[in-house]
Order: sequence, then structure tokens, then C-alpha cells
Amino acid sequence: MKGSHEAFWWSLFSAGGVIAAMLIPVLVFVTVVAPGFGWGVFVDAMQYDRIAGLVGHQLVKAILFVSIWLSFFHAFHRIRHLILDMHVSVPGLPLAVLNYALATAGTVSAALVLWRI
Amino acid sequence: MSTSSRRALGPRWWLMRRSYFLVFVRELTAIFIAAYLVILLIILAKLGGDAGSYEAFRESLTSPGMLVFGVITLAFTLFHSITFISLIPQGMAIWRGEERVHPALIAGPGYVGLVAVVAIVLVAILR
Repeated sequence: MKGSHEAFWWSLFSAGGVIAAMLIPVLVFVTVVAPGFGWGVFVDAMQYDRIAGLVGHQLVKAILFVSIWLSFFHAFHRIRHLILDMHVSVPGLPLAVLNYALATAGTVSAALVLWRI
Repeated sequence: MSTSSRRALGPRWWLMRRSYFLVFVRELTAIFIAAYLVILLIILAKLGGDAGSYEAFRESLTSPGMLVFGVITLAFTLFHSITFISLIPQGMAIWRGEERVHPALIAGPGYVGLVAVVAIVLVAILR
């Protein structure tokens, strides 16, 4: 039974890993790095009206929700294993529950904020 | 390097070899992915509010501290992209009859996908 649970978390980890690999770097670049350097075309692109219009599209919302959901589960699954690999003295079950609860909280938050746009 | 061997080597396993250190850095990428996702959630939350609140947060993202965070996060997330796509063939062996498909033919489409997604996002945001 434990093995099947682990297979479930590893499948979310893998799917989230692929999505994070494809999407997160370019999002970091366009939302933080390029505007931070003051590159005009990206500063203009991030203005409220333009981004609200783009993210308001239902397809974009769906893509963002799935991407955030799976990326959160990827990240917190890996953080759980990183903590165990670093030999931090913490019981396995509470650590797993905490990490997947944080991933779930992030997913629910994503659903709520996307719903409000 | 398997999870069990990492745990058998002790807490300083990641300092024993260069390859182990790169595995450790690969695991650290998860912290930067999670941190950026929180920022993305705040951006989306501000978008759901008024324009003034969104623009004020956007302005705070251009501070020197956030820029340093952004550059470091970009480096770690790119490291995640390269290592994750490169390791896809290890987790997904494909056989054509008796012959195993060359790993480059499995990882290659991953890199093509990465370039395609980057292009789609840039076109959508900059058009």
C-alpha cells in the first residue's frame, strides 16, 4: 500500500518536473528579471491592462492552474526528499503530510486567485 | 546516485564528489521553484484586485533585492530544466523491437518542447 502511495507522489513529481522545466524559467524571466533590468518591452508587457487581458482568457487560466498545481507538488515532493537526504531528524509521516499540505494549499490558492481574475 | 545511497553515506554526502554536489544543487532547485510559485500567486492575486495594487507590487519586484533573487532563481530553474530533460531517458526507456531507442532521441524532443514553450510565452506576452 505504501508503495502505491509513493508511486502516486512520484507521478505528480514527474509531471510537475516536466512542466516546471518548460515554463518556470521563462516566467521568472518575463515577470522578475527583465522588468528588474528595466528592459522597456518587458516593462510595458507587464502593465495591468495587458496582463489582465491575457490571464483573463479561460485557456490561459487553465494552463496556469495545471502548471502551478503540478509544479507545487513537484517542488514539495523534492523538498521532502531533500530534507531526508540531509539527515534532518524529523519523522517521515509528519514531514510528508506537511509538504503535501503546503502543495495542496498552493494549489487551492491558485484556484482562488485565478477564479477572481 | 540513488536516494538510499545518499542516506547511507551520511549528512555530508553532497561534499564527497562533484557529481554528488550537482545532485544536491538539483534538489535545491525545488526551493527556488516553490519560492517563485509564491511570487506568481501574489502577482495573480494582485491582478484580481485593482490596477493600483498590481502596479505597486510590480514596482516592488524591480527592487535590487528582487532582481538578485530573480537572477539566482532563473539560474536554478534553468539548471532544473536542463537536468530534468536530460534525465527523462533514464526514467523512460523506449524499445524498438530488441533495440533500445538512443537517449538523445528521447531527450531531444524535450529540448524542442522547451524552446517551443518559451517562444509561445514570449509571443503571447509581447504581442
